[in-house]
Amino acid sequence: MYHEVARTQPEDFLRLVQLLRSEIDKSQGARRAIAHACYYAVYHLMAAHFQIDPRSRAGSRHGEIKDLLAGFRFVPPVPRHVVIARREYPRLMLLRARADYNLEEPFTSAQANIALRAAEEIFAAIPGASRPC
Amino acid sequence: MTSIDSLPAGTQSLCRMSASQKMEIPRLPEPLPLDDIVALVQEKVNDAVLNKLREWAAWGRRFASESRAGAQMIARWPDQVGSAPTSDAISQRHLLASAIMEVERDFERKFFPILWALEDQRKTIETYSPQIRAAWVGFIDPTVKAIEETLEIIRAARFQLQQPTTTGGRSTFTLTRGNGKAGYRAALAYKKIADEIFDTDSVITIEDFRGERYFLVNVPVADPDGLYRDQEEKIHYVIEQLAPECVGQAVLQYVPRSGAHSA
Repeated sequence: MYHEVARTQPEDFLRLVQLLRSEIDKSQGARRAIAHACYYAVYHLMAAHFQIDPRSRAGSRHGEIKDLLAGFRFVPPVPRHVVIARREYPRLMLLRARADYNLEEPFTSAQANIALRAAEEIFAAIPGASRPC
Repeated sequence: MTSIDSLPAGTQSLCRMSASQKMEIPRLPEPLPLDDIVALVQEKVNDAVLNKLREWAAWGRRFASESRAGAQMIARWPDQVGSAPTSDAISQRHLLASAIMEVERDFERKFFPILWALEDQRKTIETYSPQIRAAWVGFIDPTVKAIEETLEIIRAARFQLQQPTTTGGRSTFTLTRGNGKAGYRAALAYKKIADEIFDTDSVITIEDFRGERYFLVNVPVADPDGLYRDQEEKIHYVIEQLAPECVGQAVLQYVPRSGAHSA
């Protein structure tokens, strides 16, 4: 049976993170999943901001989004959540890469918390945002 | 070449070390007087001005070749010290990197004011006749290019010495003209502000991970697991005000204050 479902939003990644939050100190997998989801929440948010289609490889690679943010200038002023994303994007990107690919080294609670805090700050700064829960 | 006594402290120790390493400290060229450059752009166009500009253009070309040759001499230094992770090799690399930084700072102090003045003149000379404009460009272009290239070569050498010999199984970093400049400048800017705010001496490292290059500023703190939200807000704010081009090009991470960090 076919059910029509709402289009997935970047915030949905953050909602998953909220579900995993209580597992941060208990599970390595949860910590890695949190860093992963935080990154993708912000990645899709920024892709939407730059009107980039993530399905198309051209222009939507991780480094390209990072470069777009780094190249931003504040004239005209940019929204607050983009200002914070610009600050935090490389760190989220690095944490996500470590979480997904570097299984040799433990992924710590502190790393997961940094990713979580950064993503939450970005989403909280969206005008009229309500915290995903 | 120059005498040991006339060198900055770091380069003096390098020179002493260099006796066994056979390293030579190049004497980089001296700049033209900045006041003369600024004064000349205000002068009425006449043959004397044109002659002076031609003379300076020739100086610019000489400067380019001499400063590049000096920088390339420095660029060979990293190959002359061992890359093994032994304490001797590490301290030699550290000493060399400090010496190069002194040369770099000295060069910046002398030539950055010239660089900025010349870039300012570009706007002024746009209003001049084609002949005088061409004469100015003939001086400005080689000089600016030489300053930038010399610094790039010197920085690349220092960079090479500051790389960890191993990076925990990650691929090693190779600095090229295109990849390091902006990121390293940003990391330096972040380090400077972070050091002030945390009252510490952080260390810049580079991590090459799955094709992306990250410039990390490792800030020593008592609790590396802490979230330093207020301090980071201040750091980002200052960078946004002073060097907006650097925002988002370096990653802050925290390491134990007394122990070694793990990237």
